[in-house]
Order: sequence, then structure tokens, then C-alpha cells
Amino acid sequence: MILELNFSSEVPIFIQIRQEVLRAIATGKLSEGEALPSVRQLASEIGINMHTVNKAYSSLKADGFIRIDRRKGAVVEEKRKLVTEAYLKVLDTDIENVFIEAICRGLTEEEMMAICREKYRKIGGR
Amino acid sequence: MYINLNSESTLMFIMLFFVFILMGILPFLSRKEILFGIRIEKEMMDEQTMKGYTYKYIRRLLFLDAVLLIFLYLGSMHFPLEFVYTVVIIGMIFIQGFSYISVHLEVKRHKENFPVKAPETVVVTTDEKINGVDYPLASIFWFGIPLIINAYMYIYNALIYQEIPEQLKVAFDFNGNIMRMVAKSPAKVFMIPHISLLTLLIFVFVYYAIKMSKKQLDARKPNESKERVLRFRRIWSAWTILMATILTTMFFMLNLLVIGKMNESKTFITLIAIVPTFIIVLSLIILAVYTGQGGSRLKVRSDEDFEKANRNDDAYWKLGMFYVNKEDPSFMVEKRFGVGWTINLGNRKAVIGFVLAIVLLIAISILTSI
Repeated sequence: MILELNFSSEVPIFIQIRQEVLRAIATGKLSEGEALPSVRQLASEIGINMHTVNKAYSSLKADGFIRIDRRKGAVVEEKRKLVTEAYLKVLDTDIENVFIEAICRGLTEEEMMAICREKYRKIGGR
Repeated sequence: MYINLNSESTLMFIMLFFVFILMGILPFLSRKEILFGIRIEKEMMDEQTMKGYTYKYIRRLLFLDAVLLIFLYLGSMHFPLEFVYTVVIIGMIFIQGFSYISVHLEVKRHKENFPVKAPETVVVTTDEKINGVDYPLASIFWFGIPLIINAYMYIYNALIYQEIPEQLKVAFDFNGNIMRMVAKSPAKVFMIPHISLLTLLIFVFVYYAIKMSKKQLDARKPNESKERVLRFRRIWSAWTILMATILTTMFFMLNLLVIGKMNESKTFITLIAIVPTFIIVLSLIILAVYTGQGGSRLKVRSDEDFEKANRNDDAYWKLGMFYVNKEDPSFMVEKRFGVGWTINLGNRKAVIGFVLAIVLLIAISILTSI
């Protein structure tokens, strides 16, 4: 599975790593129980400090997406409902920002829902 | 004619020739994104300009080596061949260094005029699969073969210890004459098995260096470069196992010679000395040309070309030759010029390990000449 990181972007690398791992889990490229490279391995592959990778893994672990297995290292957790209050707040803000611009540009509700549905299915959600 | 064309000097010249060829083909073996130690993107220069730099390097190499050759000939009239030979080798190394560095600096200056517009991207893989199928290194258990040969050396020497003559023959010339003998002792009797074991360990170390090294991918062609890198690593890991086996076998033969179980015939000695060296040097050149650095010369189906630029890590590559990155936990990374891997000089443990390895090799050289 291939991870892509943009070093010219304003988005911090540890957030990008978190995003890429989540993308892999969402699209099924990383399956439940599958091991992620260790912090050192991934840091070495990318060529960055281990702290940065650690930050990404810690945040993924804190949110319940991965766990640390004694033998295999960082491992993808089983998919379950992890919808928390905090997450819903973030979701609300993100969606609001997206809808605000779409409305200003004249996108109708139907058009917007169609786009959302297609995107969701394309990624692999059900 | 002052250069005596006997077997020794002929051998020396053949080796010099191989070294020269190797130095000359280095630019053709690099990854496509790297030119004389500088990372370049498509937009920076066209094929013609890139070739131009390569030919400049070769021209400088040829001219300066030709001058050196003249000195070699003149020098051979007044100085012993071994001395002249050493001077020539050192000279060739400096000439190659100069030719490379001068072109490297020119490429660097060229790049400064072409700022990169595409986002700098780093692409990594989390698995070692090609088209969904695992593609690991050659199995490390194959080292069992040279290990068994080595173990047998120890056992054999121990079993026939009494039969071994009191004087061990430890140095020969190409005519089969014994140059030096030493008194038998456990240390001397087991010296060759020791050295053989150490050589084996060195190759195991190289195997691990390959295993631990990062799989550098090209952001423009992630899947293609992934396949190239995985095949490149597997091929060279297999090579380390094969070379370890060949060398251990050579040491086995040498051992038989030293303890007197084999006759010091001219043919045998010449074979032991030449064959393994030739196999190693030849296989190195052939394999390097076949794979190219990072698998750049392998035949792989290519169709990708994402409009991205690779992360500009030139700053970490001093003179395009030495990788210094304290943030990077890697011990070894792929070389930029040439085929193989090099130490991350910004990693303290790696540097210590490297220095230790050199000290160990020097210590062995000294110990074995006593």
C-alpha cells in the first residue's frame, strides 16, 4: 500500500500521515488486524524524525483506529462505531464550510447530495 | 619494453582496465531522477543536456587517465611495478573523484536556474508486494550453505590436527613456490576458518543492510518504482548469498592447501587466487549494469506519470555523495552515484558501526600478516 505525503503543503506531515492511514483503512487497502510499519520503519522510509510519525500513530490510537499489539506492533482495529461528540463537532464545522461555498456557488441540494453519495461510495463506504 | 608482461603484471592491468570501465559506466547506472548526485525533474533539462553532462564526465575521465597511463609507463622504467601500480590506482580514484565533482557542481548550478513548481512529494510503501504478491528478499536460510562449509572447515582441521605438518605453508607465488612458512599452533591452524567466518559475517551484514534500507520510490511513478526497488533488493540479496558461498569455498580450498592436504601446483594456486576474484568483480559489473541503481535498468511495464515532483533532498547530500540527515533514523540509504547503499552519516550509531567495521578489517589484515 502506498502513502503519499506533500512536503510543499501547509498541512503538517503528521496530520497527512494520519489522513493517509485513515484513507487506506476507509478504502480497504489496510484491513482489520493488518500491521502498520513500526514508527521507526515508517520514519526511516519517509526520511523524517520518529517524533512526527509517533504523533500520527498516537492520534490514531487515541481515536481508536489502531492499537498496539505486543507482537505485531501497530495494528488496524476492527471497524466499529467510533462516532463521538467531539468528532460530530468537527464534522459539523467541516461540512458547514463545504456547504457554505457550495450554496454561494449555486449548487442545489440534489446536486450536492449526488456528489456526496458518489464520493462516499467511491471511497468504499456503505 | 620495460613492463614485464608476466602473469602478475598482466593480471594487474586487467584489473585496472575493469576499474576504469566501472568508473566510466557509473553515470549510466544511476536512477533516472538523479544526475551526478543531483535530483532533477523533467522540466529542468532535456535528454540531450543530460547526456551532455555524462559525456563531459567520460571525456575528463578518459583524458586524465590517459595522462596517468603515460606516467605509468615512464614510472615503470624507474620504480618497482607494485609501487607504480599503487600510485596508478590512487591516481585513478582521485581522477574519478575530480571528474565526478566537477560535473556535479555544473549540474547543481544548472538546477538553480530551474525552480520546481510541482508539489514536493514523498511516496512510501508499507508492504513488499508486487501486484499483490509478496516479494521479499532471498531467504536468509541460504546462508546455511556457506555456514556448513565453514563449520566443516573447523571440524576437519580439529579432527586431523595431529596429521597437520609442523610447518604450515602460508604464502605462495603464482609459480607454486612456497614463500613463507609458520610454526603450527591452534591459532595458525584455525586462522583461515576464522577469516572465512568473518567474511561470511560481513556478507550477512550486507544482507541486513539491504533488508533494513528504505525503499525509495519515485513520486511520479510510485508503482513502477516500487516494483523496480523490490526486484533490485532481492537480486542483490541473492548476490550476497552467492558471493559468500563462493568465497567460503575458496577459503575451504585455501585451507586444504595450507594444512598440506593439497598440492601447491601452479594451476591450483592460480585458480584459487583468480577465479573467485574474477567471479566477484565480473558479477558485480554485470549485475550493476543489468539492474541499475534502484532497479532503474530493469524491464518493467511503465505507464504512470503523475504530475508531481520528488522532495528536493539535495541539501542532505553533500557533494551528491555523502548523506547526512540527523532527522532520518535510517542507517543506510541508496547511493546517488553508483549502485549500492551508503551510510547515513547523520546517524550516530551508523557512523560508529561503520568505523568499527573498518577497524575490524584493519585488525584482521594486521593479525593475518603476523
